[in-house]
Amino acid sequence: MTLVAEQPAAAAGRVRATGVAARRTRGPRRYGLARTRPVASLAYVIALALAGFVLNDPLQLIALLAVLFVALGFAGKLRASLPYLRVALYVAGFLAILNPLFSQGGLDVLWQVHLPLLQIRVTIQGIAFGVSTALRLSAVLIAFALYNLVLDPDDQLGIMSRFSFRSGLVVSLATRLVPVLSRDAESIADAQRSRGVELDRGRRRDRAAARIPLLSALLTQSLERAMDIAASMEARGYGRGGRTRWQPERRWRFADGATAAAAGLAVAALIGGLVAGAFHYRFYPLLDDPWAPLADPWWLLALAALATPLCVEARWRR
Amino acid sequence: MSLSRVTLVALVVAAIGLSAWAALEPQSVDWGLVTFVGVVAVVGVAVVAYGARDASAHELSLVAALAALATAGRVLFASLPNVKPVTFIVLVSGVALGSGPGFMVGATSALVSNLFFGQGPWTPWQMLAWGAVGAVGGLMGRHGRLPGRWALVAAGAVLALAFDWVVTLWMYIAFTAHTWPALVSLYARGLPFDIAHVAATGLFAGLFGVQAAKIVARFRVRTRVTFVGLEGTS
Amino acid sequence: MAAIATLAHVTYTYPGASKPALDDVSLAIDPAEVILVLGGSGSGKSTLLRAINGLVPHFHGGTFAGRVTVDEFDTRTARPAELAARVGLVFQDPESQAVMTTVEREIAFGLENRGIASPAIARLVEEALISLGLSGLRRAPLSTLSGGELQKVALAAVIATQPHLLLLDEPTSQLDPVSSEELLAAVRRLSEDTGATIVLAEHRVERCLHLATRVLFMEGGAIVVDADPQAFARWALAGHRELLPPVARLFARRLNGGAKAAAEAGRLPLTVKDARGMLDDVAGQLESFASPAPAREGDVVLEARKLAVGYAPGEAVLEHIDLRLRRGERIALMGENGAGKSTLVRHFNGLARPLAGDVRLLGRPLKELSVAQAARDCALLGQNPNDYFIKDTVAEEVDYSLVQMGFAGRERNELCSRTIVDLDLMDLLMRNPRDLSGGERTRVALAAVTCGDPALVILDEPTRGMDPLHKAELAALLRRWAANGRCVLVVTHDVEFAARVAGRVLVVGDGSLLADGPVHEVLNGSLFFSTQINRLLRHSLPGVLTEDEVTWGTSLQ
Repeated sequence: MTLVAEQPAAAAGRVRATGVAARRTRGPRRYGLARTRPVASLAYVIALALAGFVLNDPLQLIALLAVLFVALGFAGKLRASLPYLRVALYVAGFLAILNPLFSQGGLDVLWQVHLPLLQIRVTIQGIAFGVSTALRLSAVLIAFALYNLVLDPDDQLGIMSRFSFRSGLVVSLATRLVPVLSRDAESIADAQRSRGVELDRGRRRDRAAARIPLLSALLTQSLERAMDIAASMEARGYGRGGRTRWQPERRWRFADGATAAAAGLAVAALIGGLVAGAFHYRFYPLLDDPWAPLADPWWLLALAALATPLCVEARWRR
Repeated sequence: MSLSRVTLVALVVAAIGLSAWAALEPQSVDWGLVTFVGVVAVVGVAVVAYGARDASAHELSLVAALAALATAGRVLFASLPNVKPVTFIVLVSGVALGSGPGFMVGATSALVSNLFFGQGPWTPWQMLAWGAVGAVGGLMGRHGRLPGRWALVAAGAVLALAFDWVVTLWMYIAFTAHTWPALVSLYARGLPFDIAHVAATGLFAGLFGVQAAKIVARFRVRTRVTFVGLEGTS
Repeated sequence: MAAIATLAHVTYTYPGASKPALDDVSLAIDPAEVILVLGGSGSGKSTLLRAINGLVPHFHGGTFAGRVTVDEFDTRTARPAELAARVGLVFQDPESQAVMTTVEREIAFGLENRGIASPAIARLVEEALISLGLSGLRRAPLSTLSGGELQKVALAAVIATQPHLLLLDEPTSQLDPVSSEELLAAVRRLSEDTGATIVLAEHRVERCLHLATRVLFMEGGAIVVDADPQAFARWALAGHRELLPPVARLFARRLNGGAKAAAEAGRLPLTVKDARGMLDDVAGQLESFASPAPAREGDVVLEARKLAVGYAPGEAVLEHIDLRLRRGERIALMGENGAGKSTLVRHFNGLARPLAGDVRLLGRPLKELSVAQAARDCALLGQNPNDYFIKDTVAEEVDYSLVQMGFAGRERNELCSRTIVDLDLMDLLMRNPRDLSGGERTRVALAAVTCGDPALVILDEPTRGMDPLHKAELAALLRRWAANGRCVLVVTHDVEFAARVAGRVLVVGDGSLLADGPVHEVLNGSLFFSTQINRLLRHSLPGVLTEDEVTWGTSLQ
C-alpha cells in the first residue's frame, strides 16, 4: 500500500529504514546472534569489546577478529557491516601510521629524522605497537558494529529501561519523535516555499538565512507536540507511582543461556588474566615473543568462552 | 535488589577498583579500559540520579522532544562533516530549562542520535560531553535571566571545541602511544573538523540562539492552579 | 442510577486567557450513555472533556471554579494520573499521543502505570489488539503506521485499562473516511458490547448523530442544548441547520410549510436508512430543479501533459495524467487514501518534480520556476495551517508573504488590505496566529498563500477537523473566488463538501485518473463517492447531489 508515498521524504539512513517491511508481526528473520535474547547477546558483545581493550598481542588480536567476523557471518550481517568496516579501516589505518611515527622506546631503529621540535624514530617495536593498536581499535569498533547490527533500537531501549525507567522512557520517546519531527520540518519548509520564501535558489548564504525563521516554527511546533504528549501521558496514568514493568515472556533457550554463560566466563577470564598480568605484552624496548601468549591458560580460557556461542548457532549466512 | 541496581553497583565498584589500580600501578594498567568503565559509570549514575528525581511528564516530554530535534538536526546535516547542531540545541536547552534537564538533553541526544549513526566506544564520552554542555548551559541561565547573543556565541564556540577535544580523548587514551607528538598530531588531524563544529555552533547561536532560548523558556513547567471557592452545589 | 460523572457550575479559564473556556457548565453523565458533543472550534468541547479527566485544571493550570466528580473522585483533589483508572481519553492528533516505540509496548504503557502485574498486562495487551483488529501489527514500530492505525492503537491503549468512562476528542478529524468509519464502528461496538459510557466530541454529524443517545451543543463555553438526537434535530432546525445531516435538512424543508406540517413532523431522519423508510410515505412529492450550469470556458491556468508522479523513478504513483485547469473552475480532487492526491497537487506548484511529462503554469513550464517564484500564481494550502506561522501577529504574516513574493510599495499595501478584507481578518490582525481557533487559523494560512492574488488556488484537505459552520463559510468563499476568475482546486475526502463547492470532479486511483467530469456526472450513482442525498434519491431523481437542488412539490404545502 502506498501509504509511504503520501509522507514527505524522511531524513537519511535509518530514519527511512523504519519502513513498511519491518512491520510484520515478528519482524524480519533473524539469525545467529541476532536471534539470541538481547541481554545475552549484549553480554557477549561486552565480552568481545573487553577483549579488544585488554589484549595486546597482535596474534591474539587476530584470533579475536576472526571470532568477530564469524559472529557477524552467522548473524547474516556481514554485508550490513561494510560501512562500519570502512570506518574501522580508515581510523585503524591512521593509527597504524601515527603510532609508529610518534612512539618512543624501541631499540631496532629503521629510520630517524630530527626536526626542530621533535624527533621521529621509526622502530620495529613502534611498528608492531602501531599494528597492535590498529588491530585493537578495529576489534573494538567491530564489536560495537556487532552490537548495532544485532540489537535493534527496540532491544536497546528495552535494556536501557531496565536501569532507569524514566530515562528509558525519555530515550524511547525521543527515538519515536525523530521521524515525526523530520516530517514536520519538511512540511514547514514546503509551507514556507508555498508562500514565497525562496529556499532552493540563490546564494548558499541566503538560502541558509531563509531557513532560520523556519527553525523557530519547528522548535515551537515540536515543543507543543511535547506538551500534547505530556498530557497524553498523564491522561494514561503516568505519575501515579507504583509502576510495574511489563516483561514479555520469552523463555531462555539453550542458546541464550549458553551465550550468556560463555560471556560471563570470558569476562571473568579476561579480568582474571588482566589482574594476573597475563595479557601484558611488552613492545618496548624489545618485542616479547608473540607466540608465547597464545599458550597462556587465561587466554585459552577466554578464547574458548568467546568461541562457544558461535558453535551453538553455527550456520553461515550472507 | 533488582538486576539493574546490581549491575549499576557492580559498575561503580568496577570503576572505583580500576581507578585505584590505575593510581597504584600506572604502568601496567590499561587506560582505555579504565576510562571507558569510568565514563560509563559516571554517565550511568547521572542518568539514574535524574531518573530518581521524579520528573514530571511535562519535563520528560520536553527533554525528549529537544533530544529528538537535536538528532533530526544531526541527521539533516550529516553530509557536512562535523556540522553538528546538537551542541547548540543542548546549550539552549540547558540555558532555558536548567542544568538537570540540560544534562539529560545532552546525554539523550548522544544516545539517540547514535541509534541512527551507530554506537561506538565514543558514545559514553559523547553522552558525558554533551551532558556537560547542557549542564554548563544551565549554569549560564541559572538566575532566570537569559544570556545575551554574544555570551551564547562565546559559550557555544568554547563548548563545541571542548566537546570535540573531550571526545577525541577516548582514542588517545586507549589506542595511541602516550607521547606529546602523538597527542598533538591526533588533535591536529581533528582541527578542520573542530573548526567546522565551532563555526557551526557559533553561527547557530549568533543567528538563532536568543530566540530559541526564549521559545524553550516559554515551555518551562509553570502550571499554577487557582481554585475559586464555592463548595456548595454537588 | 447514580451518575458516573457530574459537573456542577464549572467555570474555567486557561492561564493568560481573557475569556473563560467553560462558563457555568453543569452536566450529569449516566452509565451506558453515548453523548455526542458538538460545537465550533473554541466552543469548549475539548476543555469539557479535559475537565472530566482532570487535565483541566491540573495539567493546564488556570482558574477553576465549580466541581467535577467522577465516580468517587473529585477532580479538585484527584490528579489526572489517579483519574486515569476511571476515565480514558483519546486525543485528536494520532502522532502526538504515543509514547513508546512499538504497538504492544504502547498498549502496555497505561497498564504499567496502573501497577498491574506483568502476566495480566500480557493478557490485556493481547485482548486489546484482538478487539481492534491490530494483531498483525503487534511488534510494528509506530513510525510505520498510518494515521488511522495510530488512532486505533491509541484507542486500544485506552480500552486496555478498562475505564468506566471513555472520552474521545475529535478522534477522526485527522483521518480519511475509511479509517474514520472503522474507528467509529469500534467505538459503537464498545458501547454495545460492554455498555461503556462514551463522550464523543465530533464535527462530522452525519457519521455519528445516529449513534448517540444524547447530544450536547456548546457555544462560547456554555452548553446551549442538551437533548436526545431527535429533540436536538428539532432545535437545530431553527438557525443551526448546518449541524444536521443532509437527509435531515432535506426533510426539514418540508416543515417550513407551516404548523400543520410541523405537528405531523414527528421524526427527522438521521441516516439514509431512516430517510428511505420515510420517503416511501412521501414518494412522488419531490421535484428536482437542479440543472448543471453550463461550463464557461475560461483561460487555461494549468496544463499537465503525460504527467507521471511518484517518489522514485520506476515507482510511479500516478501515470499518464493529462489535465487542463481553467479560470473560474471549481474542482474537487478525490480518491482513496494513498492514491496520490496530495502528491499530484504538489506537482502543480513545484514542490515536487515530475518523473515524466511536464506541467505548465500560465503558459510557462513549471520546471523553470522555483516554488517561491510560482507562489505568486499558484497558491497551495497544506494540511497543517500551523506550518505557515512564523511571525507574532496576523498582520505581520500577511505582510511577510507579500514581501517574500516580491511585492513592494503601493501594490503591496493594496494586496494586503484586499486580502484582509477578503478573508475577514480585520478583528484578528494583532493576534498571534497560534492563539487562534481552527477555523481562524485556516483563514490566516489562506491569507498567507493567496495574498499575491494567484490565478490558481489549491487547498489540500482544508476541511479536516472543521466544524460545519466554518465549512459552509469556506465553501462560500471558494465559490466567490471562482466567480471572480480564480481557479479553485480542493483535494478532499469530504463528499458533501465537494458536492457543495465543486463544478468539476477528478478522481484518481489505481495509478491513473479514473474520472474527470462535471460534478453531477461523476458523483452521481457513485458507489463510494456519493452524497447522502444522492444515495437516497438516485433511483427516483438521478443527478441530485444536495438538498438545495430538490424541492418538495407544492401539493404538500
